[in-house]
Amino acid sequence: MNPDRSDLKQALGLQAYVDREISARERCRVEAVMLKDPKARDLVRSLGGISELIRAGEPEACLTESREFYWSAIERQIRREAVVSQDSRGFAGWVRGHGWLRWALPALGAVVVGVLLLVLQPSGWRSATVAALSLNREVESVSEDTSTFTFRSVHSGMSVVWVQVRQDF
Amino acid sequence: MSQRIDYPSLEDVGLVAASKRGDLMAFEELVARHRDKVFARALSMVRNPDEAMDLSQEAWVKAWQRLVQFQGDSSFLTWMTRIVINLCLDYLRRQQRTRSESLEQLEEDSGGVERQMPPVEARPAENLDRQELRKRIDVALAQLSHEHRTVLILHEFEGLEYKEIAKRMECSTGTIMSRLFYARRKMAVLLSEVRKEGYL
Repeated sequence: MNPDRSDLKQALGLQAYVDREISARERCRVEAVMLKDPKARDLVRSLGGISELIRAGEPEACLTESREFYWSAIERQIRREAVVSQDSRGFAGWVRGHGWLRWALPALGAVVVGVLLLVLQPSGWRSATVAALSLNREVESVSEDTSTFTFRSVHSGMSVVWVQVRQDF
Repeated sequence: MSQRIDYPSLEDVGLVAASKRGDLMAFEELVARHRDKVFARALSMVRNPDEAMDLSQEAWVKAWQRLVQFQGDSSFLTWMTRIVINLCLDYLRRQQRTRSESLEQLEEDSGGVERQMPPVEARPAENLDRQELRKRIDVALAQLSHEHRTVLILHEFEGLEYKEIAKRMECSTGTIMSRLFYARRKMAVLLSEVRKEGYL
């Protein structure tokens, strides 16, 4: 049988019959069609035959690796993931035990980042940056090894920084 | 005084219960007992022994982590097989993305090669050595596109219904029915060629 698009629907219906994927009422309707149509009967027989043959010959495969070798990789992974999950559970549990840490940790992180930014900036660059942040203008940094230009627009809430390595040393 | 447990003498139910209590040795016995079947399912789907071994080992790790979810509604092996099938489907999806296999190619696989469905009489016990039949079917399965092969495996070997296959393969029931039809038709052609050689 060579089902065209129009025949495909009927073929799939016959297949659903073979696979017992249709209701009892539908089964009666398909059986009525089969009584009148020898091609439908042939297709049902072929579909059933190939299905039975495939099931009878399900391929088997055996691992060539030894029991110990195969298991060792599984055991390693199980132990590794158990340690990871215990570690993460340990820290999470500690944070949960101290409820105030939930908001204090992010706040502390933000403060540390802010302080580091201020401390690590060269003094001249810092003043230029502060000036640029407060004014709507372009500034040139006084860093020795790089040229930095910062532009901040308060109106549009945007800062643009150009950083360029100096070519003269 | 602790008593030594004779793991090989325990049934799967007992080993699963012990594993749920954290007994890794009980779980190792389950692995040893079913590893070939789990590996065989992975191999039938991905057709690569190394990948199949990795996926089957990954499935065992997942099974250990989710053991508490196993309620015994099906056999342990059925549950394990479902896990490895899901991993294989994920693997095949990832492969699919990198392979750029197009829908047109799939259409060609579906209708281009096999134009007829030859009649197939299933009397393997009478006509053919079972091992030879398995080998022939394996060779034929290897010639299908992975979409067709997967549908066939899930339906014929795992006994999943159309709807369940559609859910797992993330497509419509109609697509599954169509893929199954074309997969069977191609298998019929491939196995009828075997028959001409005198095996069927």
